[in-house]
Amino acid sequence: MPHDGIVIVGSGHAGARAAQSLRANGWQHRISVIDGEGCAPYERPPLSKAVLSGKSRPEDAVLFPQDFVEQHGIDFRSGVRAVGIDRDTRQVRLSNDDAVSYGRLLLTPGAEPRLLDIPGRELEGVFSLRTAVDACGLSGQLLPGADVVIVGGGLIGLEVAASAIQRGCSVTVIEAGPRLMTRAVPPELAELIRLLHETRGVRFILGRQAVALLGSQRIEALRMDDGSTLACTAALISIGVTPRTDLALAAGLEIENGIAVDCFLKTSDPFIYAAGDACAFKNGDGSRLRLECWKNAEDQGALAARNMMGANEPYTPMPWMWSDQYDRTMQIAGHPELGEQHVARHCPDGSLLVYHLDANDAIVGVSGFGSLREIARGVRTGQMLMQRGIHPAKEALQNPKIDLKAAAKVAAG
Amino acid sequence: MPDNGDWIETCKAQDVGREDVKRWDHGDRSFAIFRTADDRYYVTDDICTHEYAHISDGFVEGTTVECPRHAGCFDFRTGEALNPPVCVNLRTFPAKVEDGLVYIRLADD
Ligand SMILES: Cc1cc2nc3c(=O)[nH]c(=O)nc-3n(C[C@H](O)[C@H](O)[C@H](O)COP(=O)(O)OP(=O)(O)OC[C@H]3O[C@@H](n4cnc5c(N)ncnc54)[C@H](O)[C@@H]3O)c2cc1C
Ligand code: FES
Repeated sequence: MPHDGIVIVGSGHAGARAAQSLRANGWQHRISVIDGEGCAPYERPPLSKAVLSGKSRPEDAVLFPQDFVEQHGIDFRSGVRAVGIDRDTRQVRLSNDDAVSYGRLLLTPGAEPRLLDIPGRELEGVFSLRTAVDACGLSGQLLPGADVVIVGGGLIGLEVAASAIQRGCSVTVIEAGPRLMTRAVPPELAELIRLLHETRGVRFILGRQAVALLGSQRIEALRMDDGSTLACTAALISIGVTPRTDLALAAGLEIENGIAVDCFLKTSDPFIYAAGDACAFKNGDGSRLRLECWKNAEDQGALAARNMMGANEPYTPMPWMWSDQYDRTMQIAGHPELGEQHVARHCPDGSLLVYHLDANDAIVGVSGFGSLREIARGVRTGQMLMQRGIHPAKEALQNPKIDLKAAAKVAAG
Repeated sequence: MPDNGDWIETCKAQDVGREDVKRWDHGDRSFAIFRTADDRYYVTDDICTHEYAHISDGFVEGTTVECPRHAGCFDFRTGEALNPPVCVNLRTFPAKVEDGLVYIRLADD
């Protein structure tokens, strides 16, 4: 293992966690972090929730513990972008004309909000949401009485809808598909979430596409594919993200729906690894999978660090994600999409948990929407049942009076 | 027993489930009272050191509690933060059980 240092490109969730994990695992040599964003690394999830609803600021959720960079001697290049990788000399070229050499290189460039390729997207008042700067810009528009249109009824769009309602805006969400959060959320929950938003005053337009953003300098209205228009004072475009692969592509690394990595998170160049939203990893069944969630960035960042130090541990994803809307929480663990039977458990406080079973009654996923307490405990219990291979009777899964945690313990002996 | 030294009475010991946790509010603060499978009691601050959540809404397994919001874990005996995203320890407080009641002692700050 050459000791000429580890370079991390991108100091978002995966990159920052990798730097911490390297030091925690005893890496004593140089760690250079190339931070294109130019501020202390922070967590993105609060941006659409606490930050936009006015309860916190982006800098309240920093990733590094205080003094981490100084204490651990991190070579932190703030506001500098990587612009090229020279694989022969093992150097990363930087936007300030500097270069930095690597023994191992980790790419964690994240993902970019997908562009809506329609006229008017450069108008003032049109936003996407990925960074603290985006959140601060959008937040400035969420004034009482503002008319906010959200294009895209996915998780981020709905979290912003909840925040905007809480700030006193009127909110319309346009979604091209027949229902909300099609990609990430089981239909039972999506329906419950839609109802909650509607009672809070959000208006949904399903099955329609935005075709133009109208206004002379600022956005004033949005036109849909049926020709009708909606007046608005601000618009958020939240139609998904695309992985940032430009740097890897230019360096000749294999790309397949993201920076292609094997199960050890190694790219097609053995000296270069990738993690987080940007990478597509080899799954157990040989397929390639790219996940866009916090838990994945967290776990892959830490694992890539260990593997660059020689650990050689395969990545076994344990998908888990959450979303907070109003005072409710949603959590999803495992693979609900593989479920063939869906068993609902209605808790007394109105929370809904759904256990997703395969044809043999094995739990393959669990999801829920409601109070933080019921959902966290129910989903965690579901994970425990999955990990231990316990198949409780459907009656037990359904009945909120039956303590599944105890059942899991008894069955495990 | 209004003032048993510096010890403050909280709740009945049996009101805390085995291998579980119960919230106890005192003034403007919340505490988490833990009971292990073998009936030992521990008390920590109830607010997670990461973003914001009541630890007492979390999941207890053995001697760890997992935050309900982002699954950061703490050893509730020592308050030690065990895995990201939590990196700041939870405060702990001395606890004892007498006559079926749980008492805790607050530090004098
Ligand atoms: C508003 C919002 C809310 C979210 N909410 C949730 C949630 O509730 N639950 C959940 O599970 N997930 C959520 N996520 C997703 C989660 O935040 C991401 O999965 C996670 O941030 C991915 O981490 P990453 O390190 O791969 O990418 P990022 O965090 O995007 O970091 C990538 C970094 O690399 C930098 N970079 C890119 N190219 C270069 C270059 N050439 N040189 C230098 N730097 C570069 C970027 O500027 C950026 O700082 C949310 C995301 C957003 C945007
Ligand atoms: S609030 Fe507890 S882990 Fe985030």
